[in-house]
Amino acid sequence: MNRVKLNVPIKEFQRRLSEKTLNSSRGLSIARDRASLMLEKKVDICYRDFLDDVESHPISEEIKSGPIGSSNFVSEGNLFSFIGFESDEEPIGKLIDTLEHQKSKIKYLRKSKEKIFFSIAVPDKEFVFERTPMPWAKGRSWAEGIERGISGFGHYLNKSGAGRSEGGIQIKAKINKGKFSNTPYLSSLIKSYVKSLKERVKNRI
Amino acid sequence: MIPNIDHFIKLSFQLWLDHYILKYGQAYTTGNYKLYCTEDERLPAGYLSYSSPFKQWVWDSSISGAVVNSYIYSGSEKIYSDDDNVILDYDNGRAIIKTDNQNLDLTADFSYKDFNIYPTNQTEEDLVVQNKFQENSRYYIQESGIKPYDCVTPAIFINFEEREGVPFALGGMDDVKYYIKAIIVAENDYQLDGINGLLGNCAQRIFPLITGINREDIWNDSINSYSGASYPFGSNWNIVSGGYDYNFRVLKELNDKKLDYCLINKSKCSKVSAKLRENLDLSTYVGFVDFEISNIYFPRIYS
Repeated sequence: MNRVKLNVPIKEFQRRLSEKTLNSSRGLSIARDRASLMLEKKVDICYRDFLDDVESHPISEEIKSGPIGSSNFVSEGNLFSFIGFESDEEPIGKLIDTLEHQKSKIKYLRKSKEKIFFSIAVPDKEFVFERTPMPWAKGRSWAEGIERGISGFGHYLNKSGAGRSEGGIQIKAKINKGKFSNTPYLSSLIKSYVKSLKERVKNRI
Repeated sequence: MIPNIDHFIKLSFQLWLDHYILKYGQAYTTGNYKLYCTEDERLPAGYLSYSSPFKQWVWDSSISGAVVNSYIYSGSEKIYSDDDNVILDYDNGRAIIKTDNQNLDLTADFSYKDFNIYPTNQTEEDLVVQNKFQENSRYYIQESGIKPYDCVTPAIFINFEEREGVPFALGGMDDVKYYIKAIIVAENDYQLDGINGLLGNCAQRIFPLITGINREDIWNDSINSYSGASYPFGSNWNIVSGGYDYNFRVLKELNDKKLDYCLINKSKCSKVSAKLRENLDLSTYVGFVDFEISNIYFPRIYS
């Protein structure tokens, strides 16, 4: 998980708290709690948008559609079958579930004369890649593969009839089908989430 | 074309990987083996190929315990490979001999690698599914010489897939990342686990960037005359004169004040699942190691 630093100007609370209170330890505690609450709301909104973006991304949509259906990313079959998921698997559901449990936690860092500083933990791409194992090689990530390239092994995972006898011949005939073009996916969505969160805090939206 | 930094990185990584596996994994076997006369149409007239049962002899003399051979035996007589009459081809595990006699009784002492290393441009599917490589078992000795040139397994195929320059510092300094995939084809699970463990521990290690390697010089050279020490081999995969010591080569680079390092940021290991193995009807055990290598330099000044 990455930590992103954010700050809230103290003047936001000056109208409601006197300078004396603000400089006291009780005042700091009040301002910190209020700033933290305010940040939490902003994080909530941005994180919900981020999860929506993940779920509605064309890659996710195609994987969600299951093994049947056309593709905008592979020349034959679709992403679900190309990666090689089991027909009853719901990889996007699992991904969203994992991300939902990682909703950014806010941590108070320090206070200066003008600002209160916080850090929030945001899921980074490594975190996501570790939790999205490739069906045919658990040490690899399908989400990373979307961005860096995926071998076509998944194509052979759920083929009925590909097995002991003559399997090699069938497989040889099918090779080179279903080429995949790398596409920006979760890395860019995480970047946009962090960017929108910073903007929202900075512009007090 | 003159060699550029990408050439150096690729060859340096390959040389380092070879050295690393032999040194830290002690992945070699030593013995005395018979050499068998094998056909090779590519050899000039008057030369015959006498192959051992194993490919890729150890050529790095810095590996303690490994026998880096420079001679063969005819009966009890030692024949050195110091002229054009006998050339030892380390990659193909054989001796190229200037003779017409196909019935020589030859043996050699050497160490061979547990995993052959081959650079490749083929995709993983092509390597694993399309190519049925000849198995060169490390557990029993075949009673014949192995055919030259074809890749044999157990092996590690190294594919330099992608590079990406990310701005690193003012003035045009980039962090150039190289994504390298190693496809491991092993005889059994034990071998695969061993090599996966070894390569998985590479993360955050550095390897020296050996410059001055020019493969074109080697290709343009005549048989057995190349004596440059940057790269271990001459035009027939014969070892350079005086032998090749990886540590010495790195030390030389250091003395020439040219030494630079690359960092292995990540090395991630994985194995092909049992289900895929079954569906592909594989008799071998396949694994992957994904390396991310980082080198920080000024690409626009260098090239």
